[in-house]
Amino acid sequence: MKLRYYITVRLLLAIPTIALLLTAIFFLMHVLPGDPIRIMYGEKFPTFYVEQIRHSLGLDRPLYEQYFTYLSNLAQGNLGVSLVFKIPVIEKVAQVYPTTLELAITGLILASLLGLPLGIIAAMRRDGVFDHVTRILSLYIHSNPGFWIALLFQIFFGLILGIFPISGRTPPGFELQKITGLNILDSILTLNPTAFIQSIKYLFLPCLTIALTSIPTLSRLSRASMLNVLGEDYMVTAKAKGLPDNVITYKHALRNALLPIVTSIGGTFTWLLGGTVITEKIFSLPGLGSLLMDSLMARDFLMIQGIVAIYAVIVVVMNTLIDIIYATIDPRVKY
Amino acid sequence: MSVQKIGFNFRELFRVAPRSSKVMVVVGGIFSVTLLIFVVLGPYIAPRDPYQFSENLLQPPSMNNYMGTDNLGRDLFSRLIVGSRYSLGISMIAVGLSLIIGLFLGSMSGFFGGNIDRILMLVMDSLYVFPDFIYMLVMVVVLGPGIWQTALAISVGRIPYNFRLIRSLTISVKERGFIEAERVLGADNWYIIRTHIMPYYMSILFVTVSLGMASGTLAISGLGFLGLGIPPPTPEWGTELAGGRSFLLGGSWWLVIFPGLFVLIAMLGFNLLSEGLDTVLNPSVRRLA
Repeated sequence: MKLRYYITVRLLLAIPTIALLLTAIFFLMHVLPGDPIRIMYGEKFPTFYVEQIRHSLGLDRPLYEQYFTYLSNLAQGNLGVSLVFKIPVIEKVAQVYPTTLELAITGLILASLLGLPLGIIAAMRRDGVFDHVTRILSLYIHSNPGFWIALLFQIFFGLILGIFPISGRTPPGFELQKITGLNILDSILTLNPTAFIQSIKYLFLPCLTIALTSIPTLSRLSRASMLNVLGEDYMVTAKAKGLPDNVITYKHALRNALLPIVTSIGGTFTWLLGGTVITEKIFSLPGLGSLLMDSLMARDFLMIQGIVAIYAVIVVVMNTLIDIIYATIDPRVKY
Repeated sequence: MSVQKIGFNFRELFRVAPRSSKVMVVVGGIFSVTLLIFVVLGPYIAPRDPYQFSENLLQPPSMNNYMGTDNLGRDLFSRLIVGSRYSLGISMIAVGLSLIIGLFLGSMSGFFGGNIDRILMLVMDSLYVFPDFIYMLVMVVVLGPGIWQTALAISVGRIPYNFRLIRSLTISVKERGFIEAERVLGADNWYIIRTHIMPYYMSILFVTVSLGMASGTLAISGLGFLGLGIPPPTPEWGTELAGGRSFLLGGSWWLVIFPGLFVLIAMLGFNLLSEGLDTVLNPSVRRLA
């Protein structure tokens, strides 16, 4: 009961944030240079028709009226119809978001699997060779832009070795029954081993790119968190009690060190969503990032507003989820 | 210990810092300073005119063209040297803008508190939770291409970070006992700001500026890579890299590798510097670093 109350409050608190972002994007879209209708239909399109389309979209009405229409439509879950694709924004977003989600989630899992142990081991052997090497290494990796890592991967794995595909989600002409839209999950659900292997093969390079860009942050945070715990008084107590080393490490230190790390994983996730834009573009993945780029180019303002709204919702839900997980695993946290 | 000694004494702090941090500061400093020299003196250092076409199209690196030539026969090395003006220059403008705005709003929020603080926090938190690259993208398209427009778009991405930092610094300084003590002793505001608050800010601002340069360079080259940065023929690193991509299959690897290396070296320099400075200037957090 208490948890439900907490979640409700947390989501209610997120409403001003989302409203603010949506208002900002609405007004930004209206100062966007370039007439979307002209861009779509070309300069020679008769002005009469342009005015008609403008009227049908409600673009000839005063800005405040458009704003309230936008808000009331939004409240009903209506994001409008894409100017380019001519289908409801929500439908188009539903088609592409699994790609982004799959990329971000697998990237985050891979980054956590590699980053957390690195940071934790570095903390346990503080000032040792391992610690210094990981510090230098993560600083070095952190200095590589994502697009540069992706390009090097494409050159090395794709062009030179030829073992991983460098663009797209699946081989051309490849059919996979759609259940969740997440290829890996779908291939498991439909018990399709070839699809499973292909999905992983296609996801591997983009996922590795995403993971590499966030490993340094995660390993640093987990190192700091572990060092913090190792300096606590209860660690001395545990040692004085004569507990075996591995009990101290895993039960006392690691479990406490993981708490702040969970929060930072949430932050990393939202940061990753920004990083997927470039990665999606490089690997020609049809995700939210690619869609956003294309919509920006085409001045498809309803689509841009819709994508930003979806991003905002994903971020808020994700952060709430992390908070809940945090509260669940840390008995000290009271709602 | 006299009051002034609490202030910012780089030489002393540097002397007692661990050796690894000293190395980082020195190496990062050399990288950063070299690049900043390119920014200021780029056109004088570049061996050739970066915009001059020639008949040597797509030549691999040689003694004539240290980093080869592009598809229009322009000298890549010269282009990248001059390009640092754009890649790093824009980043510098962005860092400056975001610092000024962050300083202003952050200190206001921290100093006055109350409703101003609440409203600013809501706005900044909304920006903070949202992936910054996405609103940089939107801002760049809204503002249009150009040096100042790109710089402004990138600075918007940094403002929430600087705001939060300055706000928390202001709050923590405001409540320090020694500030109160100084006031009782008759010190005026300017004296307190000069001897206590500025040194306290400075040690952290150096790190922030250095980190900001790294993320600014990353942002501008990322935007350039997506074709949203400074448009060609301006030799911005990310734009150059994106342009070189189409010649990769033809075997012209240098058009991709060298622009990428420039970005990497700049990032490495600023990151090393900020990481090293962080340990040198803030010894109190050394336990965790």
